[in-house]
Amino acid sequence: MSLRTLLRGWSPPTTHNPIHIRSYSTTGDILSYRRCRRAYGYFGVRGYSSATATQRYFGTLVHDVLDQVNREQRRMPTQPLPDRAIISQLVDDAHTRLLRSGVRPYNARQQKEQAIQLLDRFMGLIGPNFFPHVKQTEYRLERGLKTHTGRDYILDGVVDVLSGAVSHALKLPFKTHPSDIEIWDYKSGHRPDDSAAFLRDYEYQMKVYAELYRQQTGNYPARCVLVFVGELGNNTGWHNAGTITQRFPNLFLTVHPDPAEIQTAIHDFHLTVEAIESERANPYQQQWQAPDHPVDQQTCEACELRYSCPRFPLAARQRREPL
Amino acid sequence: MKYAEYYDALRRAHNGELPLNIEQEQALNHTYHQPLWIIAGPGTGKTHTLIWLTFKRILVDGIQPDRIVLTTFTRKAAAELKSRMLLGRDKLVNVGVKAAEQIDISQILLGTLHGLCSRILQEQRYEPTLRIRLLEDELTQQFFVRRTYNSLLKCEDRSFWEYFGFLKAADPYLPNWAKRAEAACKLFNRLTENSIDAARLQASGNSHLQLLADAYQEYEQELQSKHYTDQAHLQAHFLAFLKTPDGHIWCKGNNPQQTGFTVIVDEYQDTNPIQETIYFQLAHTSRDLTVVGDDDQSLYRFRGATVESLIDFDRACKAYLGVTPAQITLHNNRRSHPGIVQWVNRYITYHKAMRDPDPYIRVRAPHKRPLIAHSGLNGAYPPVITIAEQANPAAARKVVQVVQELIRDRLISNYSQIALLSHSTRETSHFIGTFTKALRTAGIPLYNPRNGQAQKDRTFQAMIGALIEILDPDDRDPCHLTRHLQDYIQQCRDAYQALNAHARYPALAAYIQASIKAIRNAPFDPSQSYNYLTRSGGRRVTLSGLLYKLLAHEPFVSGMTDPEAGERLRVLNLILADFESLYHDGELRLETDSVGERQISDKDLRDFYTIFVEGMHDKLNDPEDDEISIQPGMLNVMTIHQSKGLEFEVVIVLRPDQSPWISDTHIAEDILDPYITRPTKPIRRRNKELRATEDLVRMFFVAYSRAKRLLIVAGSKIPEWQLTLGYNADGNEINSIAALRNEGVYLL
Repeated sequence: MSLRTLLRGWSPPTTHNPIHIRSYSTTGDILSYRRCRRAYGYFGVRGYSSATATQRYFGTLVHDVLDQVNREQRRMPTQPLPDRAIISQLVDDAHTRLLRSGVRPYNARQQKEQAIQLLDRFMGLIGPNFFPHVKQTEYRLERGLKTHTGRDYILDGVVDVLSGAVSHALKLPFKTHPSDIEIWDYKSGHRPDDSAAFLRDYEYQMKVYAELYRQQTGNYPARCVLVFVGELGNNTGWHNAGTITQRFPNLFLTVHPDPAEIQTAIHDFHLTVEAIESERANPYQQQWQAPDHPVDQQTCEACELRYSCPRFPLAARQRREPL
Repeated sequence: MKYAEYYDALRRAHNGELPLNIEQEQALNHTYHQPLWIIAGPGTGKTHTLIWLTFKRILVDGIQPDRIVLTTFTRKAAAELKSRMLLGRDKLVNVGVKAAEQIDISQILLGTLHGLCSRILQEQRYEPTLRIRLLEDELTQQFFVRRTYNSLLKCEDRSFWEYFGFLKAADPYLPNWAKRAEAACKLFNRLTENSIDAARLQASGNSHLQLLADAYQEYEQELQSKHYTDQAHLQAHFLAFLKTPDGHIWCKGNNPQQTGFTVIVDEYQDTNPIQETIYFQLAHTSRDLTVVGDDDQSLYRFRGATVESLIDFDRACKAYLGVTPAQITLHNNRRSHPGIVQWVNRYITYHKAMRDPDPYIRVRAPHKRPLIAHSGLNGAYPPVITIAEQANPAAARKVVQVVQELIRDRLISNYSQIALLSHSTRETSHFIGTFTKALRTAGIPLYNPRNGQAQKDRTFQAMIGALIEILDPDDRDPCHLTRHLQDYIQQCRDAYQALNAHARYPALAAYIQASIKAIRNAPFDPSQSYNYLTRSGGRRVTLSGLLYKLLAHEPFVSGMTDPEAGERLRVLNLILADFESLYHDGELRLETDSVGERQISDKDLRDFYTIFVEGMHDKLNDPEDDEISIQPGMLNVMTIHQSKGLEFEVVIVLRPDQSPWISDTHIAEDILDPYITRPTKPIRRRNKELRATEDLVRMFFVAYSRAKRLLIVAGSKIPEWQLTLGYNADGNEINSIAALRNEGVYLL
């Protein structure tokens, strides 16, 4: 007996795609995909391990010490901020933890010394007006959103600091209010040139955080501030600034929430989520092809798949090179 | 929000009908003066209940989302739970529940317990775990044991390995180092998860236990001194954190009105003892604990799960909290055809292995009720079919025929609506190779990346061979490799040579030759302690770097676009990354040979061969990876373990001729039992033979209950299907065609 005859009353099942509401973050997904679809697909989606993933020793070191100082300040708010000797000790402790966690720094002594200097200057110039206003560190922002086609996804991110009116306390040169809520993000390096793609990416990230915050609380933060701690290594700037933060060139990048700009950023976010989801739905063989647009050299040089990538001009040559 | 308003909103969100049956409603009605114990059979809407129960807790009971701990067993299940929570909130918002708009799902502590432990310890900056490195999986843990030369690796005492069940009397050789590392990790994890005091093992007077205790203490010291943790110790850290003053404050909450956490646990049948302790600790003040699970679907004993956690939950509540839980059983099955429901009911209810005359022994949770079919599927056809032939090739031919007919006659629209389930996905004739070979020969697209054949795949071997060719062109034997490993290395070399025969891939060959030359002529400074192999520009060469270079060449680059080959390459890449994380980041050191040319150091070559190449073999075929993905358009082959939590229109269960298998897990359970002091330890337990039988029965219960419309059981030697087919209502074995017919099963 054929199966068809046997299965009397069989109703063919309808195909339904299981619901996958995926999480997307600005840097880990959206910007990464926009830079290079292929690298994002293999490393971000399929889960290949990246051997040359940047070990962000310096950034993590600075970040960990600032976090430690903040915890101490919250525990004992009347305690003075750490002096250079204590900072040095905190840097040493953080360095040891990083080593134990497998991060291998290049020229650690020099990097530690630089970190001590930057952090010492941060404490002196910004610290007294900064730490008392910190509300939360590593503040998790996560929200379920819908793209313009109605697709659900989760937008997530973690901001370094959610604070009160730090800008007001620092008397930064724009209109502030003592009840402001701000999002702060530390960057351990220098501020990129105004024309640099990274700077635009940072701004984009802040706009998305602002929207996430609004979704979570009902209001935009007063502003998002990126502090480029690396700028504090500029001795001339340091001496010229004295105790007046606003005189320090390039130390801050402030993103004031503009609803129209933010909506544009979120719309772009939706479009990229749709593009990624549509890529995922392709047959395996067709997924994660090299992008049609040019990819910046830095992205290619950091990608292990470059040797077989049609977007990388030096692919054939580097593939032939030994080792 | 009032309770009635919530129900009204639920109705409005579901076209005017309350999406809950009586038992589900009872679960939501629970008042939390006592813990809640939900036993939920397959397809009874467990996750659905959890979703609406959690919203009820927030909207009606006023629990803040950040005071809810909601856990499940796998990352995949956690992602699904979160998705459904978000959709659930949307539904409530859409019917005008203003308060739902304010619910921030991200504030719920939702995830696997491992994931939550890691996240909370990080957020709370718990000093002992700051920047700690996690040995994320079993293989990395084994690499760590080998990297630290744990003393168990050096144990040449045959009786030790036999005692713990890692060696049979008939086995001619002791376990190799890879197997010893695997065994050590299993034992260490069991000690950690059961909070067994090594000092008590020391005092036992039993030399095997003393050896184990020494090795465990050594392992823990290595973890501590190198700032690592494994998954079991991560949970132990979390438990320790909960007992600190900071942990108490975090647990109770900063707000004076808060009284601890609302704890909701899914898949509770697969909880291990330390997890049980954590859940009760979290709920210690609030007593607000809901557990959901099905003991009949408990599959993870081998990973330390104790099904007693669920079965004896009432005893646990008494012991930890001094209260009795309320029990609710969900039994309306909305998944399967009534005939399939009847089949699984009969199988589990009348199976003799699932009953015990001893009143102190519970094999199943008390007061269980049979499932009731509510799927709406009601075709007048026999939904359970068997293919029982004299031999597997004949059975395989029929399976092919069935699959072809299902597609040809458009009874299903896509191969991925069928799942091929078995206790192992290995494609040898001993397992399911006869079936998969027949299906592949018939041109049916199969997805079975963990098929036990990866290490035999010639292209894959050629990839390893190419790597070996670069690292060891002179075929050195750096440490008297075992014969087995030597043979495998030779196979890989041969595969590479065969691949390159007739200069088919000249670019690959040229790259490899250039790299060999580059190593021989590499700069070398004898005054340095270490000379690293570098590329032009000074960057150190890593094993992963070499792998990616090879992957850029044909034929490997094409493999990355094939689903099965791509999955294997990915796993290879990840194993290499795990290895590198413990072995100098995969950087390669040089030494000079007898004629002054450079070569890769003996030490690095030895580690590469004995740790990586050896370890890779098992992991590539890991059939117990629970994070499997379904490949659309293909017939997915998976182990019964992997199928848990999934459902398919058609399920074909292969090779029901199974016998219970007493594993090292059952043996370790018995050996270590006297040293376990947890309050919920069963009063009496069955012997290991009976426990192994229970495990087999539960496994097939899971397999059968995955099917929605059609369940096909296929194999040969029907008298050996006795345990996997079970008994009829009269207590008679079903092990013949006549007996199957009596149960309404159609024989194809």
